[in-house]
Amino acid sequence: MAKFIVRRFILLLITMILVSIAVFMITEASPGNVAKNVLGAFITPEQEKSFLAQMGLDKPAYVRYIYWLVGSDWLADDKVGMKLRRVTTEDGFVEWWAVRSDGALVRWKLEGDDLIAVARLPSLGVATEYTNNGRWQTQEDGTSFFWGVDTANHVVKWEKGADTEVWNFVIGTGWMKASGGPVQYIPLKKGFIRGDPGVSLRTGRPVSKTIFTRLRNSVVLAGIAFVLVMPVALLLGMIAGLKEGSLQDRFLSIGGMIFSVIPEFATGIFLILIMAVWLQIVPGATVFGESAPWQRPDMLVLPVLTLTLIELGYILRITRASMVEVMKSPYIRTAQLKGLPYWRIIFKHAVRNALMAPITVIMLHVNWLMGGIVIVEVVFGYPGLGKYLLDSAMFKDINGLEAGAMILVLLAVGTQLVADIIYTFLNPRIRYT
Amino acid sequence: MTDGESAVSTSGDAVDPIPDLRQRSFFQRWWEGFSIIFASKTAMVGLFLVLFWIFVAIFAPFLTPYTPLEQDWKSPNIGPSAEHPLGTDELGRDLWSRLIYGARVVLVVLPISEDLWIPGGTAIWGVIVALVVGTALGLISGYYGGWIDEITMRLLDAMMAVPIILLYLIIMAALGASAINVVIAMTIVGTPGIARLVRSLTLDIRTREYIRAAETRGENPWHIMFIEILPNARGPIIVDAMLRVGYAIFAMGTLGFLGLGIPPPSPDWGSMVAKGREFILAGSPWAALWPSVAIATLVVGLNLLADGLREESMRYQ
Repeated sequence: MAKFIVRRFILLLITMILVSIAVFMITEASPGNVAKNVLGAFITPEQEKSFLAQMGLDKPAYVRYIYWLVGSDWLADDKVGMKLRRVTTEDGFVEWWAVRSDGALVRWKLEGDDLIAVARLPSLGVATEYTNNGRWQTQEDGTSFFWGVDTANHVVKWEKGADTEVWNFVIGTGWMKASGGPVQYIPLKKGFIRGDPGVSLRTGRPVSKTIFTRLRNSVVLAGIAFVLVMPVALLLGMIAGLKEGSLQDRFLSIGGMIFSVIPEFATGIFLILIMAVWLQIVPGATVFGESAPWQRPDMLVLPVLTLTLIELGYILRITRASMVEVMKSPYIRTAQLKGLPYWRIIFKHAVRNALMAPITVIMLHVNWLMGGIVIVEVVFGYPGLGKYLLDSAMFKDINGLEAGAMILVLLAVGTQLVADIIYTFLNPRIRYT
Repeated sequence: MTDGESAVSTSGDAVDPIPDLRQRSFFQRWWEGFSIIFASKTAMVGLFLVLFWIFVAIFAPFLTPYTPLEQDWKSPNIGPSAEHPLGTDELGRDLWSRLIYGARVVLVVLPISEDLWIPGGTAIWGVIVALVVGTALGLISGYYGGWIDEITMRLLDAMMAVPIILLYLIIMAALGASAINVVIAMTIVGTPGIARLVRSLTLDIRTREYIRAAETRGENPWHIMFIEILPNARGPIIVDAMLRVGYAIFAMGTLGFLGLGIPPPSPDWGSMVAKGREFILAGSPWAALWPSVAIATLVVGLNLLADGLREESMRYQ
């Protein structure tokens, strides 16, 4: 069993790496341009080039993949010659600083030919500036260069007198042209496997922060739907399965089928039209702003109901099929011939065995359920992981897309593993070797 | 898969116990299989719904005076009226004609470019291409076995582990929105399942005597795979494919709704819902309602038909 789990776990890791490479390659090959997405369609080629260099997007794809996976700060450490540290500000933005030998945090900027160091002692919190020309190094052709941390989270290489023109985009002011820019950029990140999925190109915020909220919202949505749907679907499925072919069985199984095959967006539209437009009981869209989903339960009603209806039919039909099969088995007939009361046969003999199939199949269904959640989130404008993923994919925001994709794969493969393990407990005849 | 076998055997020639020397014509046999439908009420309802959509899709140009792209600036977002039986959308386009031309794209024509199209709807092609690729992979890996099988199946397993919606998202985001790319995406998503099914059938059929005989005759492996094995595995594959048509329509609608399907202005049910949704709260629900009803009735019809058929064919067993 342990061996089985370990092997499956390794397979999970391999799948995640394969998917992350595939997402990277496919995004690479796809048409469209992230610089135009971020900055609008009217940027000049120079502005685009400068932007791509600052984001590290001018580097070859495999280099970017490695940076994304394991980070770039270990590489930059050597160039700067100091340890680098990541600091999170109160506003939730990430800053990178070099650590001086006395423990102060330093960054640099270039003014004319002078290097200005911005130092901050952790105890003081106030930054002091001083000229730091001693750090210029000379390369073979006689010019001076310097590797340092700039004020926008890159490790950069400045060259004295190179006078590179750069375009910086400052939110609120627009494009700022500056001379004396660096000639080379390495954007700093810790890398995905070290817990830093990077900064979203779409929002400019760390992906990890946004995605946590989004994931929480999606889990709330799916969780409520799951808790509601399970008992109802299992109960109805068993009622339908007990009397195969009866009127109530036909009604339940055809009704269940209809709800489970109609696309989620159509169900969502029907519910909005009936509940929000016609009857006007609940709002037809979800606008949470800063508040968490559970603070506005009225807005949760329709998304939860849509998910519930779709899952209801599916689970109902599996439970029904399983119940029908169990009721035909010899041990039920034996129990009947022994003269046991009907309810006792049902609850003591049939139900336990009939629930085995649905529970494992439901776990395998998570893969499918995710698709439903994405659609439901889009229909109702619900700020969940699915919508984040769609927006990131449309924007070509590679960091957001990769992080979302990894979470989905982890959930899908992880639940399958859990389902396999649960199955061994439910059915001791199964052994994994 | 036993359902599949039974559906095929009852619809085939197993009905008559006395061997008839005169081969019954193809149409006679087909009609015998088909007449099962009339025994089941649910199958009849399903058949009616499906035939309705096939009919309007084929005869769309004769059923409406408007083209799906014709805009009427004077009457955008109006409800049903004498001129526009289902109303108009936000650009004043007739919803009924957009709806039936949308059915055409799903069921009857695959638009390749502006003025080039081939017969067979986008959803149908999605299933057919996936079927061809999946069957070939399944046959090869099931028949050859060994490392070919191992590599193919591990790769397909990895693909199956990835959530379907994520596959659709990254494929369509990469390829861009067009009908051909929808077919490609459906192929990539559908192939692993079909390949697995065909492989398991091949593993079983491979051990039969007639395959041994063919091998002893020195037949080419391709001959054995496609002439000897494939026809004997067709029953379950056909049933699986029928179920996949319903799913393909579902997927096509979903892609269109997410803005990843057939690009506007071409009439696509999913994107019509996505656009119409914005005007629901502005007081004109029609543009979102009709395409939702259309896709719902079509997939429900297909599933009722499949369900009824399966039930009836099991009753004869």
